Amino acid sequence: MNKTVCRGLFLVALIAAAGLRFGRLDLRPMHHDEANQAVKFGALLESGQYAYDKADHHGPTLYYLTLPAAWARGQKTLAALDETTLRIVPALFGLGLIALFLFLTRAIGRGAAAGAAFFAALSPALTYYSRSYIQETLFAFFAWGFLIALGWLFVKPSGGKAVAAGVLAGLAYATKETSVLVFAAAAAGLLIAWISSRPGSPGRRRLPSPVHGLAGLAAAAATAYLFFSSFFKNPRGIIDSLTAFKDYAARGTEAGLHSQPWNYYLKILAGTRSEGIFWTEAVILGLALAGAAAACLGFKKGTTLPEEYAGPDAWSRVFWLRYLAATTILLSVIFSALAYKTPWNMVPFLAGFAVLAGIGADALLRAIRPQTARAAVAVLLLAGAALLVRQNLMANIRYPADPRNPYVYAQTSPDYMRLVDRIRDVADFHRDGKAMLVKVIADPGEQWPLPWYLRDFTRVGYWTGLAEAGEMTGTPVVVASQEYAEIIEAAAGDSFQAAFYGLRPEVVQTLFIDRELWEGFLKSRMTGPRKVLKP
Amino acid sequence: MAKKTVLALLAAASLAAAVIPCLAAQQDPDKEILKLTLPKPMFVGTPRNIKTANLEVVTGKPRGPFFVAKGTKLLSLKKPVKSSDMQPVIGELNFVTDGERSGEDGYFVELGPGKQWLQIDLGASASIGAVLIWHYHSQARVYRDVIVQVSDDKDFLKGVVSIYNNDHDNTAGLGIGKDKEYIETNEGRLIDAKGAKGRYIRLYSEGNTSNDMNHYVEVEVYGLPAK
Repeated sequence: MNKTVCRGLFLVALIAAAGLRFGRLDLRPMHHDEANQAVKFGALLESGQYAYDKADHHGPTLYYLTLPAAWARGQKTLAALDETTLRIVPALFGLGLIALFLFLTRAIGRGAAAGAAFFAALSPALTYYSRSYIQETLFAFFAWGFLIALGWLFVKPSGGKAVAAGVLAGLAYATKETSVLVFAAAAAGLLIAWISSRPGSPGRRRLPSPVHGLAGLAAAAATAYLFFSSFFKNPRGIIDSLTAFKDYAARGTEAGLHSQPWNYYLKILAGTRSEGIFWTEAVILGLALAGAAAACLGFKKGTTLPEEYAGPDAWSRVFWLRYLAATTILLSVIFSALAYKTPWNMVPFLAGFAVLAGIGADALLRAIRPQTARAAVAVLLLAGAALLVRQNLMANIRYPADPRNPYVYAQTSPDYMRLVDRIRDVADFHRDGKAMLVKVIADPGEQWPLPWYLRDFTRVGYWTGLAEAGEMTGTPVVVASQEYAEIIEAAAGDSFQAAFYGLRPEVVQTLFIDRELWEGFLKSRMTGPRKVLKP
Repeated sequence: MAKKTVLALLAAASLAAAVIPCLAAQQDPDKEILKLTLPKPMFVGTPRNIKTANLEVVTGKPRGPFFVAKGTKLLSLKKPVKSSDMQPVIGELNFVTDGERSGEDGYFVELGPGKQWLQIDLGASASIGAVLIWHYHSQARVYRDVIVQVSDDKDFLKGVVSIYNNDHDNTAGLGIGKDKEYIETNEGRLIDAKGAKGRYIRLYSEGNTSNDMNHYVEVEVYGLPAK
């Protein structure tokens, strides 16, 4: 494949990825994690305040890197923010992740790199989490930036590569605590690739020097310090980032509600059926296995290298294949071994599967000699790509909040948007408008994402118990979780109009609207009803 | 003692209110019990205890007998169906009148998100006695803004009669309904059509508490061909 074709294919992959990632970013209701982080970002936007919280919310990069998006859209307050401003940030990094694979063209070959770009662009899961205001896609971008820079550092050591790898490692660390798992997998992957790629090979050159190592470490530490210290305002942040590992280690092993079997991620990718819909990324998974097999070729002494790797650069190419395959497989094993599992945690190693799938597709096309057979494989690959596009549209456009979608996890139900709409509707009829008093009585886990949706309301109170919330009668709007709703309904009698709404699967809340306010709203909704049969 | 007496009287009155119409219908020589075949339940027990004024209380007990005019027949079997979503992603529109009531995968049609309607053409005008609807009964969920209308006009522009409407805030724009929301079970929702006349039955809904899609396993329309 020549350079022009390769660049053209990358361009097509990037356009496809952009179309899938940037379209209708407001389609899915905000997940409670997204809402929580959006409100946290709102504080940074409005007052410049941010301090790393070692107990939750992961690292600072997501918040700081959202600032340019808000500035670009002229949004200066939490109330002014919208879903598009927030979600465009991971979407851009999702696009960047694909562009990163351009740095692999000389490592794994142009065909394999272009294939990797396509599989990453079309992957339903990688698209889904690129459209979510969570850390995962930024983390995958920094992690893969680091892995690629590290690989090049070992193939052709230089100070620039050491610093680049260090900065990217620092950014990955400042994004998610699980970056240490990437570092561990990368170290093991390097070792496996180095040892297995035939000592004595003429291509095997010098290792990076200690100076390179020190430069990389210094760059990583400086980058992490900048972010964790809130740009020197909270020096303690970097210490907190280290002590946080105790909590995260406990969370990883004592997963509670998030505990899943070891094959949780593999099952999602291989295929699941749910109420009439079949979900799969088996195309990527299958080709990734082929890619891993291609990387293994030549492991045994005396095995000949594939023809395309023959030549002076043969060692580095074999090293790259094995480094990428070993790191990806190790990452998937580590994440699968942890009891704590959420579907977005597969993003870093799924990006690796996309790379291996590119390698696998390229190897298959090269391995098959007869033209007709090769054409048949190409058609099958195109059919696989078409299946991924269909799955992608199903996951991200048709069923983005549907519990049947395997990428959906504790997602806010679309039904909840009716509750939000109704509060906004009745506020129009209240003399105080958005300064109308709203009482929310629910456990902390059930209070979100309401603070995001009521961000422009000025008198919203959140309580975790009825006693603290005070008198209900006379309150224009009350939102209560089910355990409190029955008590309120029994005590308030007919003074409220009550209706229930689904918050998440198996979680409902009741909206109480002052009867007078409700009647006012209902009058506005009256259109001449058609003939109704009298009983 | 007085309290006990009042309670006993109330219980007796409630029982009478439930039984007397049945007895009256039973004694009416022009009426008969509508024989219905129900699919097997897909979930055990009653759903989470949600109580609001607009939601029908789940008793867990089977529905009582329902009386219709003698000679009432199932009119909708294998009749053509159309909908606002003519290309459903899951299932086929003809599943709605194919006589299969199972709640398992492969027996329901899924219409797109938001407000959608589905319409059955009975082929000729009829006096509708009852409509039995199963939206989706594999999971306890509530479908929003369920409205059922009958008309002789295929476009539902004139002569429209609403026989069920639980859109209590007029979200669908078809008028405020006084019927209650209900949790889907294998019993389906049996609607008393009170002899409404029409050739077409149109059913609206607007998502449900689990997702924003609209589902139908089966719709059965019972009635007498109009004379």
